[in-house]
Amino acid sequence: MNKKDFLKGLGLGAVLFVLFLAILFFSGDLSASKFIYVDF
Amino acid sequence: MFSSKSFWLGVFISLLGLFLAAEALLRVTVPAGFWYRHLDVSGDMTSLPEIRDRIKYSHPLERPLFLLGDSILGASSLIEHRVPQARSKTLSRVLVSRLGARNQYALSLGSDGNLLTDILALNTEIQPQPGDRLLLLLNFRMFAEEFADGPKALSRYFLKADLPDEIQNRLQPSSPPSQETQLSDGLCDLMSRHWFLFRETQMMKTLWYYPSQKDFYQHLLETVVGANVDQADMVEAALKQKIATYYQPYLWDKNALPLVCLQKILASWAENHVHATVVLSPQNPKFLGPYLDRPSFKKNRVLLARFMKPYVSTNIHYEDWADHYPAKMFLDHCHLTVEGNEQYAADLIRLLEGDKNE
Repeated sequence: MNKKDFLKGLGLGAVLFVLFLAILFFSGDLSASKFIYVDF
Repeated sequence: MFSSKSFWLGVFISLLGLFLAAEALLRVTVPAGFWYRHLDVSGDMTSLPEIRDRIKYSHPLERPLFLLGDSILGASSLIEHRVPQARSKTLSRVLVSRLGARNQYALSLGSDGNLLTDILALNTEIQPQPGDRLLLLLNFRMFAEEFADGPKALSRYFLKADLPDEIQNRLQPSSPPSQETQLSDGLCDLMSRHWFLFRETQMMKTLWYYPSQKDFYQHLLETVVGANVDQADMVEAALKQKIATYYQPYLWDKNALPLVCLQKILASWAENHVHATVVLSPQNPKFLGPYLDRPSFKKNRVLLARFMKPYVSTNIHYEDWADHYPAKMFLDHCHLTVEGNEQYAADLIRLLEGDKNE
């Protein structure tokens, strides 16, 4: 196993995880009918 | 590098490890109440499992005083009126903080757009127990004709399963939801149930996307290019037009969903011997006449007082505060200014203390 490549892979995995978290935090609502009515 | 097996193994192990670590961390910290102690997620609801977590873990050692209501408890109107640090000046925050100082814990389940159908479902989730304390803030808009029946009578559809069948049947839309809607709702529900990372990120998202995603981006744009003064007038006019339907001449119907649900809530409280305080929340007197039909306003208040009478006892207390405050304490038709929230919280605490001493 190439240790250098493995470590680079670990780094890319961490970056992908952060990107995925950003999608979860900033994406729109997945549920279409979750909140029918907004009032304020 | 990209063709190296070691590289892709590293990517896989890293991703899997981080997902598992995040999931494990949340599965420990959510039941410990960590997120509820450090974040104010009141004012919105994102899924049924999250609401269950909130009820169960916000105050794991004792049953809190449950605050039930709509946007009156939250920050949406303060944010809409660009009040700085709006979330720290909401009615629910002032109540929670002042009650906390008296060693009484309160949990707000008030959310924007909540109707009595939603509150009935939340009451099912609370599972009232003898000795529980609840405060329900009723708002005139909850009884509006447009929420009397049909799909608009429930604001959060993930609460539907908590409603009795006869009420669920009355919420049916005229046409069934599209396949895409069913699929997205089903997927969202499945992920919220089984995946803590998804459930909690959806919950935390309301900290910035509040009252809605659109408002967040509009606010962001305003901080960069400045507020459009002309648009403020348009927003105000649109709001007035929208709320006009809540206050049109209409006598509340005892067979309509709002009063049917209120009856079920009160019956459940009476049966379980909970200490409940119900308040008809203050309305802006300036809106009486041009928007709020004065005769309906008077008659409906009398009707509600009569409706409440059989349930009012030593345990259940009702107050009509519809004309409690002057117009200067309101931001709009029913939401109070920062000073108004302070005053309202102080008056509610006095009322709760009085009820407790009875």
